Amino acid sequence: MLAHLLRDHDDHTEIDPVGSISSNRPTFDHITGLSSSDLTDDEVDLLRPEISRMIASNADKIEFIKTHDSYYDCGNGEPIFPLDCSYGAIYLVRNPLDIAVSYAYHQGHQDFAKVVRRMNCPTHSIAGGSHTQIRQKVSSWSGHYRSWHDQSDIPVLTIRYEDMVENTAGCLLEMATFIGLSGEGLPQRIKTAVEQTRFHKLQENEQSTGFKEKPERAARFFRSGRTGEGVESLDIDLQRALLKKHQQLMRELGYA
Amino acid sequence: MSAVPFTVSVDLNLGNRIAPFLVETGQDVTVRKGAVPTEILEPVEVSPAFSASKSQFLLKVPNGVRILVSDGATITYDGGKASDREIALFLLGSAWGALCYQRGLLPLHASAILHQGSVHAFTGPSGAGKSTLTAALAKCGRHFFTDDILIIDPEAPGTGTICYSGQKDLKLWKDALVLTQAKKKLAIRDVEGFEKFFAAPANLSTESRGTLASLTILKNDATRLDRRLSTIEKIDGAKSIHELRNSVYRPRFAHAIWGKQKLFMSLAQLIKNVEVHEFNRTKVTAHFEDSVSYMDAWIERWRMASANGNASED
Repeated sequence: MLAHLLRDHDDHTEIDPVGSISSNRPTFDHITGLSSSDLTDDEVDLLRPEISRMIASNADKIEFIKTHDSYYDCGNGEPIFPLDCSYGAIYLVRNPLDIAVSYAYHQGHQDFAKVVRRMNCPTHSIAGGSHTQIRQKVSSWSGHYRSWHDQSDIPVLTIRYEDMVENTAGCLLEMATFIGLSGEGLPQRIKTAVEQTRFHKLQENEQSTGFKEKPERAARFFRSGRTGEGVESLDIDLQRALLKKHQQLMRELGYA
Repeated sequence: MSAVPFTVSVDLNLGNRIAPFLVETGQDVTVRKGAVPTEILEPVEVSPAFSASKSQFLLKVPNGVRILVSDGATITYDGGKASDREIALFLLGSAWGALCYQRGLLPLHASAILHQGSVHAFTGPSGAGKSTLTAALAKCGRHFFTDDILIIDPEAPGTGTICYSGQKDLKLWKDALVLTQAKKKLAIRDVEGFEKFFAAPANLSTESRGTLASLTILKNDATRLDRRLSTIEKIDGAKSIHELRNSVYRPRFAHAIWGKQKLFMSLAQLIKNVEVHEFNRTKVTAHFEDSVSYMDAWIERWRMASANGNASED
């Protein structure tokens, strides 16, 4: 949605693929001049703040970077996303029960118990080593949320996925305001962006032309988008396991 | 014509990786342990791990290894607490690439096999599967030529593109060792649990020089886009130049040491002599053998077509 919004806002503005995701291994290798796969995951982390600075210093506009990372110390006392080049973070949070289902399908399986174990693990990380993306310390579902919301260096706008489904235009307006977009034409641009990125349209596009970010093992990237699938698909023990681990935050966010 | 583009004298154990380059005396390049500065003068390119000017290149690895490459003639290293093997990993990686640029040679980020004097190279970003595919083709009987770095001599006389092996050992992750049955050597790092290893390919060529016949870009878009599992497509013109630029080893080093114009001119020259293809294939392990067979068959068709005077076989 943001990509569409910005494209309408300014024809010269494209989301630079270089900054597409914080775990992009070719970007790391290109900027550092090292093979990330010859480094340990911890050594990679040590260089990441400087990489963010270099990406920021080469950008003439706000650079958007997707990330799965929790907010953590890179290993030398500095946060993995440095304050001096971080404009803000838009934090998308979703009911962990629904995430468990979505996460499993994204990985091309339906072993929900395996996913729930990961979502409950404070030291959970993804990729790194021989994987095509560098390591991301994800933490548990609530650990991830707390890591971003307990820090005060980088401004955070939190959007609930469920609210985005219910009131897409309203949430996009919040995001647009957060990143400093304004002007008389903004409501129309938001309306257009919302229409262009309706979930069924994304599904249709994926069906006809594919989607390059789809994991090979996943049947599709834009699978369902529905809320409430966790309650429908997870057995009661798995629901309880998530609730037990994350009860306080789930209540704070209206998920329990 | 020499079997190597330059000779090297070293004071540490580099294993078999650049054996053809090594001499006792009369070397073009001297590699010695010594004091390495923390900065170089007037760098053109700077990153968290390196800085480079036209004649000097400084590498700073997070494990404490620092390497200075000067004037294409000397490499000075300070390994800190690292073992020779770890020093060699970075010395024969990024520092080796910088050395090539300083000596007017173009290193490509590619692994390659050699077939009857013709080098077929495979390139792509880290994780694209260059080493694994090349090792697997060696297992199929193709001669393994180089891993990770393929050195092009843009100034070499003649009509073909002369290229040299940059590394004679493979670097493979544990799962790739299983897939390719390459002979496992020591881990590339002295870190517990680090499961990437040096490895000897199944069918190592003793040749270190050849003529570059084809350069194949490894892609993994096809199955994400729900297309066929394996396709090979010849690319030309601006697209091939673009892909070639992405195939250059450490392009920021090239920008600092050569300048962008010289790099572009070298790539434009290269493309006149070398066919560029995209090999789009699944990386799902269950289909690995199929994709290797597909490429192996393509090389055979290329060889037969080349013998008949028509090299391009899409």
